[in-house]
Order: sequence, then structure tokens, then C-alpha cells
Amino acid sequence: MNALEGRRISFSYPRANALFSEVNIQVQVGECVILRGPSGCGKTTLCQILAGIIPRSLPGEVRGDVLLFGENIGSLSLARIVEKVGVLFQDPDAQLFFPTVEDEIAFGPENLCLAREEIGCRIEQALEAVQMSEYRLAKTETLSYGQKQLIALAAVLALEPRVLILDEAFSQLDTASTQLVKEIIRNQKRLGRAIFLVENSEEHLDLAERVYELQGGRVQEVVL
Amino acid sequence: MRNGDPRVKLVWVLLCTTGALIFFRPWWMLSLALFTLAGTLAFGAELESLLGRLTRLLPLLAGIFLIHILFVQTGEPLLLIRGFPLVTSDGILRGATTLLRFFVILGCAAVMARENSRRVMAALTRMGIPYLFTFQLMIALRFIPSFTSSFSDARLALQLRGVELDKIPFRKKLRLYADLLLPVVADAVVKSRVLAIAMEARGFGAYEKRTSFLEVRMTPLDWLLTAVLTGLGLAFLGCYFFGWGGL
Repeated sequence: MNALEGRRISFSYPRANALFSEVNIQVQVGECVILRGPSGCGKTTLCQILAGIIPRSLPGEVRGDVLLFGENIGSLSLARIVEKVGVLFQDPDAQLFFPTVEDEIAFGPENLCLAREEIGCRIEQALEAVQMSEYRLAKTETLSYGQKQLIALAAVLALEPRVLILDEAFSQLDTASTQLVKEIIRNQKRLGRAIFLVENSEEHLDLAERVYELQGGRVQEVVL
Repeated sequence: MRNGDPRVKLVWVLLCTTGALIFFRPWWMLSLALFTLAGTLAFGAELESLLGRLTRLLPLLAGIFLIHILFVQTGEPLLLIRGFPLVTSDGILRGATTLLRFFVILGCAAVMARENSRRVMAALTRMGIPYLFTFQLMIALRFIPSFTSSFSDARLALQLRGVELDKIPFRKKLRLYADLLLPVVADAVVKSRVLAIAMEARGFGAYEKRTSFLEVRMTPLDWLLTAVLTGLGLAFLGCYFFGWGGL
């Protein structure tokens, strides 16, 4: 079953040429799909379209359809999208804004109006997943860049989304943290979550069932 | 009181800042400053940080004091130069009142700076203020240090390219800072946009209300303090404006 599907997606920024066109992408339940491509080719933009951020929150002309478990993302409310899709952006500094780690992870579940007890459980589980339980009460500003990336990932995991979109999740991580994130991705796959990973490094291809390459405004599947 | 409910601190801050804005009589302002000092100590604000802020503002405060002394001509002349009253009693009193006003505001800022911003947000939400507003406030406050840091980074980048800012004439330096301001503001706008998207991607604004993991609860002592502070505030206003109690 397709968890996330992009059908003939074309995109152009206002008053600009098309960044990419006729893009077809599918991510099935329990599958990890990697998207790679040169800098500036539109990988992050494609992530934002698949997460429904464009055109809802950012300007741009999008054609084609994004389907989330068969439903058109444009017809879903923000609450329903967030319950299904979690996005990890490139720069953790831009995503973390609360004074402590606990506050940061609680933010998403609070937005979904979950009960206090449930939020507590999710914070605990998310921190355990990224092996940072001892940092629960730490101030986010005192964390290293790599630790912030892990906390940003924990904040997404706390939403328990069925689809994870990870935009360069391994950037700035040390070897141990990279292995940890890879293990988290494998665990998420085992739980039946669909993962869409933007990643250029060859080292992480072992995670993927399929690899797409975005280049020159076109996407094609790479035969591994 | 240090770990009391943020709402008590907010009531105290409201009381002190309102007094600072409306009191113009020096003895009233002195009383308010002493009341602020007592509150600052009771709420556990860091006195060192308060003194540090006051020290940093010393040239500005001295300038303000001087302006009052020189420009207020009423009252008893204390220093005459060729018959011109350079320093008057009113000038000194008004200058001192303004300095005390600054002290009150900085004291309130020191108390709130010690409080966890999440607790303040939770308290404001419990007071019925829409969460969208409290988040706007928190994020706006968060951007002040971020903006300062971006500006100092841009300044450092200039210095690393060989620009010796200390040796540049004042007018040229002002022009240079004006040129730096545009990219720093643009950077702040970009950062705020990215943050807004990240927040929305985690469901911010999905529902009209949101739950809170952090709970703030008013204890009986907090209620008592709030009642005392409110009563005091009303009594002070009555005394100041209507002369209750012969004051």
C-alpha cells in the first residue's frame, strides 16, 4: 500500500522557471525511499510539497497530486496531516525554540491536544529512541549541533507519524549518532512506517528499498 | 515565593510597571522602588544580573539625570551661574524620579527573566489569553538575542576582512552599521519564516486550543499573595489620585 505518493508533480517558484516537472514518487508502508541529487536541484522543495507545506505555507505553483494513504493532501486539515506526516528539516537550530528538551518534545503532542499522561509517555519514548533520556531537562541552547539534530528527530517521533520525511538527517552527526539514526530508521520501518529520506551519501543506501535521483528537473528511479 | 505561580509575579510586575508609569511624585517613586527591590529579592531574581544591567546603562542613566538637572528650571535654585539657575531642587528630584523609574522596570525584567518562559506561557494561557498570542510574544522575545547575535556576527565578519571599526570616523561607522542592518534584518525574516514552517509542521495552530504538559497551579499562598498585591495596588492608586489616608 502506498503511504505517500506524488503523481506528476511539477513546481515553479513565483515568476521563475519550473524547478522540476512530472515527478512521480511512491513510498510504501514499511519502506524507506532515498532521494538524492545535486545541491539546489529541489530536494528540500520536493520534501515540502510531499509534506503539504507547499503551497499551504510557502508560495509556489504546484501541479499534480500528493496522496497520503490515498487521500489528496490538499483536502486534509493540518491536524490530520500532522498526525500522518512528520518532517525533520535540515537545520535543527531553526526548529528548536523552547528553553528545554522536554518542552521541545512536548510541543507537537500538545498541539494535537493529547492528554498530559500521553504526552509524558511520548516524551519518554522519543528520548529513549534517540538515547538522550538524561537530557530531558537540559537546556536546548547548551546542546551540540548533533545533539540538537537528535532532539529535533525525537520531537518528530513524539508525534508518532505514519510517514517520516527526513531532509538530510545525517548531516552534522558523528559516527555513533549516525548509526543510532540508522537504527531508528530500521525500527520505524519494522513498525510499518514509511520513510522518505533525502540523502546524498552512498553510505546510507543500505537503508533504502528504492532510490530516486532528482537531476535537471526530472526524477528517475535508480537501479541499485 | 521564588517558585510560586508565574501569575503572582505577573500581577506584581503589572502593579510595579503601572506605578512606574503613573507616579511622578518623588517620594512615591522611591516607595515604589523599595517595593520593587523587596519583590525582586522575594521572587529570587539575581541581584548581580540586575546590578550588571544597571551598570551597563550607567552612561545613559547619567545622561538622563543630567538632562533633567539642566532643563528643569523650577524649584529652589541650588547652583546659580551669573544669576542663571543651573541646578534646581526640582531638577534633581525629577532626575532621581526617572532613575528610580528605570530601576523599577529593570527590577521587573530581572524577576521575569528568571522565570521559565514556558511557565509564563502556561500561566498566560490559564488566564484566558489565546495561545497564539502568548507564542507570538515568546518568539518575539526569543528573536531579540538572536538578532543581537546576528548583528555581532556581521560585525565580526567585517573585522575579519580587515575593517578596523575602532579607527573609523563616527559618521562613516554609522553608515557602515546601517549597511549591516539590512542583511541582518533579512536573515531574521528568513529565520522567522523557517521557524514558522517548522512549528506548523508539528501541528501548531491545528486546533483552536492545545493541551499543556507543563502544569501551573495556584497554591493557597499564591492566591493570598495575589489578593494582597491587588489590594495594595488599588489602595496605592486611591491614595495617589484621590488622596485617601491624607497622602
